[in-house]
Amino acid sequence: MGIDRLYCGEKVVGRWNKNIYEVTDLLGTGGIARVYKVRDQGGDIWALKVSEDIHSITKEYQKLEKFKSSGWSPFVKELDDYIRGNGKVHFIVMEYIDGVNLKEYVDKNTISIKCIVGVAVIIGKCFNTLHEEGLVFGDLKLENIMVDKRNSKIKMIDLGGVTQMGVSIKEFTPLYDRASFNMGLRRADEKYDLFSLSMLIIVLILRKKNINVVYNVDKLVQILKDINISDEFIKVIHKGLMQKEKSFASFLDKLEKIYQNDHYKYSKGYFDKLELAINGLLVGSAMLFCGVLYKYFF
Amino acid sequence: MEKVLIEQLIVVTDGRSNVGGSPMTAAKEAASKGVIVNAIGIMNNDHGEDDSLYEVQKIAEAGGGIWENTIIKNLGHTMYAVTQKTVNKTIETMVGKKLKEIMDTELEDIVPQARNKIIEYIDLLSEEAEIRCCIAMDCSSSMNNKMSSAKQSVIELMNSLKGRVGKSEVAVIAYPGQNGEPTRIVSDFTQELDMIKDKILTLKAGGMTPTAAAINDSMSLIKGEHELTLDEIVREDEGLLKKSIV
Repeated sequence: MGIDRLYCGEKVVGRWNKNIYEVTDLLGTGGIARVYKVRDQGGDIWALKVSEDIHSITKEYQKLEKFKSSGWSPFVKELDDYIRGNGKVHFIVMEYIDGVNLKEYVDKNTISIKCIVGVAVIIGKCFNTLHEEGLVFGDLKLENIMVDKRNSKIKMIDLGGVTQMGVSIKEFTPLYDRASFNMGLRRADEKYDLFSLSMLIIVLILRKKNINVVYNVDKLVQILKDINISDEFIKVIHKGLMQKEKSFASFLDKLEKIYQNDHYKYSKGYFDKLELAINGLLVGSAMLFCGVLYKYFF
Repeated sequence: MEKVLIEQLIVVTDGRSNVGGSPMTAAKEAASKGVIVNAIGIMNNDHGEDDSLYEVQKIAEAGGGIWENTIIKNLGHTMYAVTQKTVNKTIETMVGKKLKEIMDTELEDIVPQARNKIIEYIDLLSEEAEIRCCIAMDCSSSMNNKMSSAKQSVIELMNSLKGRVGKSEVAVIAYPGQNGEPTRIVSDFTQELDMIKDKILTLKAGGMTPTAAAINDSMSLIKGEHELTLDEIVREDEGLLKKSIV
């Protein structure tokens, strides 16, 4: 990144809207942008995403704006420029989400298979709404998924990869990218998301083990077979990776059935603490389920 | 809408040019003819700067392109990223000029909410632009243990480009060539992955690093001026023969 880090206490002044934000913390650094925690003059807390790249920041703002009341993406307030010394940077002001991303979460906690299916269903539903609009999510990865501490909702925080169907995918992460597995073109269609979501499930199941070295679908499925999960679930994941499912929606249906009927495990021999809690509560909805997840681990 | 053709050369090297003229002069010459010269340096380890790759930056600067150092395993991905950046940069500059001409303004000086239309237009042009990309692949002795990854990277680039809407053609030149030739055309421009796949299998490492010759000969190939090799003449004659027999 070309620009220096904003320092704590620095006041970001909007060139057009004249709003002032005081930087309180650095939240994260990406390839072309940094995200800061800021306070506006009324004392409200926001997340401020800063980049020199006018193109990507403008496009991301448009997508956030489009889905700002969807519930699964952060609310977006404004887009503006900040003149800093001789340079000019561009920034988005959006809802600050108090929580952790899934990557941070799974690095520290065990996550049950049931919970993994639940998370996949929630993300799948959000993808479904995108597909209905002729869009593809594209750049799925654990780092882009936030769990909000206050209400335990899952939010997709980076919409930079959202792409119109039919054109090429420009932002991707090899581990979730079907072209890197030689499983299809890097072009936006709903099956691109089908592959990445299937990979997400595998990443969550296998965690760090074995994943980075194996860019081979058959080998990944073989590894899954050695783990305590049901044939039915493996079949669904396998079909997802092969993108043989007739549509994204039918994949999602099958996932939901597995979730509801507890058909994800081979035997019932092993319970973790979380699952006992779930079984005790007879949780029906995935949303509620993540509330439990939050209670136990945050 | 106007169609845009982008001609680029990607010079892949793992060291300094050590025979023939100056690659910087050759790159400058190429740039003056409208071809963007990008350069990718192959590092021998993924940490620390390699002094011998300083030339990579110089070549890209002279050729109006961008440069990047990477490890051989990531070459395919890097070639794609470099191509993507080149396309974006070219179209952005083009549209920027138009904006200046028509409205006497720059994208940055337009109200943020109104920028999107122009950015969408840039995206559309980039997606539909036609790309002619020539890869000049270093095949000197030091590349010896990297050849299989180098071959794989060409396939990876072609696969990535296939996702685009616009037509993308790729050609490959090896330097040095065989039998003392400074370069060899491994594959002329094609959109067909299968066409290039067989041909790149013939890539072999050994010899010096004539980077300037590689750039000059890539230019001839891009501009369609390359002389037919004996091999090709024979093949074309066979075609004629067959026709006359029929």
